[in-house]
Amino acid sequence: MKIGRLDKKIAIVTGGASGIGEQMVDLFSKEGATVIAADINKEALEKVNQKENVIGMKLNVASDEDWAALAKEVYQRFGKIDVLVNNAGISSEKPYADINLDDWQKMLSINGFGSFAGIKHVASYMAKEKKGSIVNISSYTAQIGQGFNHYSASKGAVRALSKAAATTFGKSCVRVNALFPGIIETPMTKGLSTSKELVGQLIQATPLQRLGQPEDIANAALFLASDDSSYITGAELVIDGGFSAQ
Amino acid sequence: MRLKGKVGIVTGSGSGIGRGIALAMAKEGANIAIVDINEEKAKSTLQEINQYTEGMLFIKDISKKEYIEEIISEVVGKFGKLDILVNNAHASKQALFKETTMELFDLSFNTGFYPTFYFMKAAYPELKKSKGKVINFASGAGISGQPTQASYAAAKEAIRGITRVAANEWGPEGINVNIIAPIALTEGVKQWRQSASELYEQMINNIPLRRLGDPEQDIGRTAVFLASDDSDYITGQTIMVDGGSIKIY
Repeated sequence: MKIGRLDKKIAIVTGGASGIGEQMVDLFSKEGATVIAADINKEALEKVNQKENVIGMKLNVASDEDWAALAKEVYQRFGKIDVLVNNAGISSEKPYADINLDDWQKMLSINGFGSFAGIKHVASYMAKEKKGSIVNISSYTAQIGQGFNHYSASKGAVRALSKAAATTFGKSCVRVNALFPGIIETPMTKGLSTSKELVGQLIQATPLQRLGQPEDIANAALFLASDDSSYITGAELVIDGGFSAQ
Repeated sequence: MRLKGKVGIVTGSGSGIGRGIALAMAKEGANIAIVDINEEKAKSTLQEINQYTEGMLFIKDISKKEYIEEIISEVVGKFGKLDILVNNAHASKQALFKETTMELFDLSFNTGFYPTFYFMKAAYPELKKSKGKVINFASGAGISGQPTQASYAAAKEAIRGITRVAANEWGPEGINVNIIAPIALTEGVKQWRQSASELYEQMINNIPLRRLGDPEQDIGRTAVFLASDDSDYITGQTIMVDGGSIKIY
């Protein structure tokens, strides 16, 4: 049997019970990793637990305490943490004028603090082993103005945080990179109000002439998680079919 | 094997980063055409490639554009197709801006920029058929504006410019065009390390990961990613493989 690209690695994927996160969990375990699928959705976790080499754990990414407990449990159980993908997040198309402080705080605490706390609690264990790879999920909306007002701001926070953390943890050989998905066909994006007509226009405006698929993002996350990218840190990997290169 | 049965051309693959890429790709199953001006070094890469797949050898000065079409047609003649084009070769000399001459610009553009442009142009019909991948090379020296690198920086940023144009024009045809901006411990850097060990230490301390990249393990495997199906939705991008040295916006 061929050796997987994440052979014997211990990986945590947040939001791992559905959508892109689930795709990553399946790909990582196929490539030889033991994967902790951390998710807030308890019912979805039961389904996750039936998968081979996948362990579902409950996590509210916006909770410092949840993160501290999860990181400690994984480290104690496996003796190391090799990979963290901060994938969990929420989206919103609320118009600018309607966004209030509660909306803002909810968005920033899940998408922004959620990634920050993950790095904070997991990177220290990675630093002990002098090895680790953290993959954050930003968005093309953090690079170019596309509406999605407070969502974009939260993804901008993730973008800046990734670079700051790459510098902070570089000497401990912990790598921190960010993925910038374009529009990906997932349950989350299918729920957006975007009309069929607009989707058609978007595809026309994308050099590769299609929307992204969850596996496009999972494959890129696998590359950044694996030792193939061992000299890449603080980098931005845009997976948008060339949309923002124009 | 992530590149099984694929056919690639790697320029400047006699040594350094080019050799690392050629080897990493061959180990993933790709047949590789080695293009280099140095016969001895190119032959040694060929021997290594042949341990894994099948290599082809072109000892050519690619600043002469007539050779470029010849290389493409010979590769396609032998293997029947072309999937991967890696434009890595580039020669330049450092000089302060005020001492930089047209000759230095000519050296940098004739060995780096124009070969990249002509190879892409000549390979395009084949890449269209294979829905192929182009990997071009830029540099942190260009992105950050490193002193003494005017001619190199200009050519490297010019390569980034045409890469984005080609990504947009050729995207609908399924051709991906991306850039790697590497730092690697090549033979040249090893020599420099011996003569300037203090400067070398200083440089390492400014790299977040505190080391230089390995031509095969670090740069080669990133090139494999960009040549493989795993990166099918990535185009027009610059991938920094530099230990975190430069974080571009």
